[in-house]
Amino acid sequence: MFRNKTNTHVKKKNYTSFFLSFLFILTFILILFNKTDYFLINKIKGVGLDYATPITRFISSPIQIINNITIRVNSIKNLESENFKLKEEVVRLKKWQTLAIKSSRENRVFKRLLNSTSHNIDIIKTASVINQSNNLYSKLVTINAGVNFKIKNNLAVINEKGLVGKTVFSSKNNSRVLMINDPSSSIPVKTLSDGSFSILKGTNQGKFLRSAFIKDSVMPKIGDLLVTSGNAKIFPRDILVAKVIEVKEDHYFALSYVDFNNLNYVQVVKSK
Amino acid sequence: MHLNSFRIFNVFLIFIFSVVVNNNLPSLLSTSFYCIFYLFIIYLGIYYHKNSLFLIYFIYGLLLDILLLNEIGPHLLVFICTLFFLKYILRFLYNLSSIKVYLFIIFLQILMIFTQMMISYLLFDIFFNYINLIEIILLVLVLSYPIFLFFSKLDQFN
Repeated sequence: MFRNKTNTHVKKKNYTSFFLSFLFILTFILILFNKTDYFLINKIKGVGLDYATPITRFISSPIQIINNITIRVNSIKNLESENFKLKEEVVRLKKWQTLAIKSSRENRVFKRLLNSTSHNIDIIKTASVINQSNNLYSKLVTINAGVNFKIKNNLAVINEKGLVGKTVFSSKNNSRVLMINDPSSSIPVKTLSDGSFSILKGTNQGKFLRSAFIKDSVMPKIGDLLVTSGNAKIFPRDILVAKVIEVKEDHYFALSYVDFNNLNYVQVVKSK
Repeated sequence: MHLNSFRIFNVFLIFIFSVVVNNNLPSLLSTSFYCIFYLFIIYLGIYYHKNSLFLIYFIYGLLLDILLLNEIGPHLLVFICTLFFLKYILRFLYNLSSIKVYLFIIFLQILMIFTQMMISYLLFDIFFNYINLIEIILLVLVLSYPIFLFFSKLDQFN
């Protein structure tokens, strides 16, 4: 009887130490495979993304609801001042509208004369943002379209305001987008006014974009608009990126047009 | 099914994990949840140490890596190593006074997050953000005491 108990205890102990050793080795194998970009790791990432995201979204929904209510209450509080601002803006925009209609008519005539084609981008899929990771490590968002909508890595992602980022991982149903305000992102841009080229990177806090390289050291002016240059073959040409807000001796800072904290719908696009 | 403290802790852990990875909250709030998640993880590792925790740590580490970094490594490695480390020093920890254990948990949490940031930087070139680390240290110092009071309430379910 005692012998049986001892045997069972030894077996259990052996099983436990085997299990712990297995987990420990598996951890290192996963890290090693991740670095070598093995097929299995992409599969694990895909499964993790596809299954964990909807479950965690459902579990964290009470917090999301409370957060949405707080935002709504705050916006109601500021309603009067915002209404006043909007009225002023409407007057200003009406003046611009007259100018825009005139320019649009002229533009159409010029295009016909030059026999030019409009848009240089192909929209692959319009998707909604289902998850945004916290900004401690990478600035990533998850969108609800993946390989099943022909989304692959390194495709440009835009929204109505401008460039959002590029796809870095696609599972069957979801994709991850690295936003342009991440320090590891790199966006080739040109200044709209003089066509000078530079490369933008995100900053630590993600509020601004900082120039990492400026071709021929041609510095832009404050207020200059930056659009994608199309040099990297990832981002199609002429997508609005940011506006220059500060120029230093050898670099400059720009403010993106996209509100990264308030992303709802995005479009995955590629060059035609 | 009997609802003991360990299970209650795990329910909270799942909830906080979901908030951490599903984030549309203001930056300070999301970092706070991240810190609270670590406090839960370390507290479980010390006061509810059992072998099933290795699997729990493994899953959380893997999912945090996939969902926050899109790479596998920093969280997984640090979680598993921490649990092994705790397994061997647990008998010494039980001899310490509660205030010393409290300080040890805070120190361990900061060390874990620092190590993760370093590993992320070294392995995957993910930017090491000192400001975030300082923010985390301050948040841990502020949050730890009320969270431990909450833990002591949860402990009474046993």
